[in-house]
Amino acid sequence: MGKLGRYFWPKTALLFYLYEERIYAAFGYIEDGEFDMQERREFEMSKAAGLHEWFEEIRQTYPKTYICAMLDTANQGAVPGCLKSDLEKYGIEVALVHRLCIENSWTAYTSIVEMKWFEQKFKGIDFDLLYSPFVLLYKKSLPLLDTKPALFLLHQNGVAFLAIFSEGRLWYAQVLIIGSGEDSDMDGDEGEPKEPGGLSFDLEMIDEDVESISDLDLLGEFKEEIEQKPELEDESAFELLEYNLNLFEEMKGALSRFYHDDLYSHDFIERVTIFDMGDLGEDLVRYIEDELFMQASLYSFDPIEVISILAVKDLEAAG
Amino acid sequence: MSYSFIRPKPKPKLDSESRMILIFLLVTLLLILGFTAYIFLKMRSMQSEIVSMQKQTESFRSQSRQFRDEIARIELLAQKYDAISTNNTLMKESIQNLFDLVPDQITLTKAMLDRNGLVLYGVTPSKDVYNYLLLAPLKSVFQRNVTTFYPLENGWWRFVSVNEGSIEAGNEVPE
Repeated sequence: MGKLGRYFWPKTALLFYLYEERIYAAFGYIEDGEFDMQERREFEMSKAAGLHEWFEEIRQTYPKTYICAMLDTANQGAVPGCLKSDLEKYGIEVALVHRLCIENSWTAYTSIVEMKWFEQKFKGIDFDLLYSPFVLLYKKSLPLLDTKPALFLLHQNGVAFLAIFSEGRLWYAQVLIIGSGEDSDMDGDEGEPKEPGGLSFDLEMIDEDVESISDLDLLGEFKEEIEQKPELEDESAFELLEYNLNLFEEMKGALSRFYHDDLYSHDFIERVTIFDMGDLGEDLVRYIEDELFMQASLYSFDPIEVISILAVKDLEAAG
Repeated sequence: MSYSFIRPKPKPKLDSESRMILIFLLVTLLLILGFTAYIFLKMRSMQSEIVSMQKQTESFRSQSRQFRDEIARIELLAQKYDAISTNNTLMKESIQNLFDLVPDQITLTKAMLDRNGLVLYGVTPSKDVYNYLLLAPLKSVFQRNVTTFYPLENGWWRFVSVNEGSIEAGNEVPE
């Protein structure tokens, strides 16, 4: 009967995530504990009706279709521990968040309002599974975890989800909002201290204008590269450089907070792994290696791949 | 353990087209089953009806036999009736003829007519009157005629005439 059911009424899934005002979606069968991808499509966020139409088309043919998505809202995070008191310890209002305990070790949470807003944004689509980027990051990082704590970063355009894992346990997590060059200027104008300081490396000067990079001795090597590569003269290349610097600063700030906040376990972080959904380039890796003296590596990240693995597990568990 | 913030919602197993096909198949199956049940019940009913009709046929056969026997009996009775009627008519005619044979001079006191013959008791003025007027016609009817005379005081004769022979009157039809 099971085989017959699978043949006549296959279990299917439509997975998607948002990136740079575009929807990246994939459709496939869930068979034998695996996701067999059949088709991938992209839609403009402004033309989300395309996704609705595709979903309706799939649902007409396969009524047992599950909708799975990555929740990309900003007001979410993760904390060590699964108890309510653990969340309260980190100043999280439990009544305002939706939380999920992972491996009885740490909790991923998101703002209830933002989750509803996300669902409302795709009105007409009944979500079956919504994943936190921290969960996706954890799943992707699992094979790379060892006894020493390591920093993992999931980069999306404008946002990065940072987590420090050690032996499968979460030590620290933070959502980094990465501003463009103009944003950085604004931040600078406001004069708010973005990091508590205390790192052994003082890169405060980089927080200023991106044009000042060339004046810094610390970034001498990049200066050489800029001179060597005429394509970097291109405005977009400068924007990318500026963006990478902002991300670097945010990451540095997060590290500083991790090192100085007594709420978290401490240990020296020697390894950074970046999972990139966009096109960061190797510059950031070099920044980290040269400025923070940490071992860094960059991998491209396809949320669909990880969502499919998690969705299969969740749907099997749900029966 | 779930990795998702929300739980998957229960899904319908069938799409609208499959549901329609399934309903159609179910209705068809129900009709076939209903028809089969009807045929089965009808067959059982017909079998019991056949048994009942066989019994009825047997009963009718038996009745028919009875009726045939009855008809045969009635026919026989009718024949008998006819025969008796004919015989009676004949006898009536014979008796009428017999009484016509008896002359005015002879008085019969008793007459016994049976299948064996005719026995007449009576009084005659003389033997000759008897012999000429009564015996002659009796002889033409019966094969044997025996007459015994007894003289009376007044000179007349009492006679007993026994006539046996082929007179047909009085023959009974066996049942």
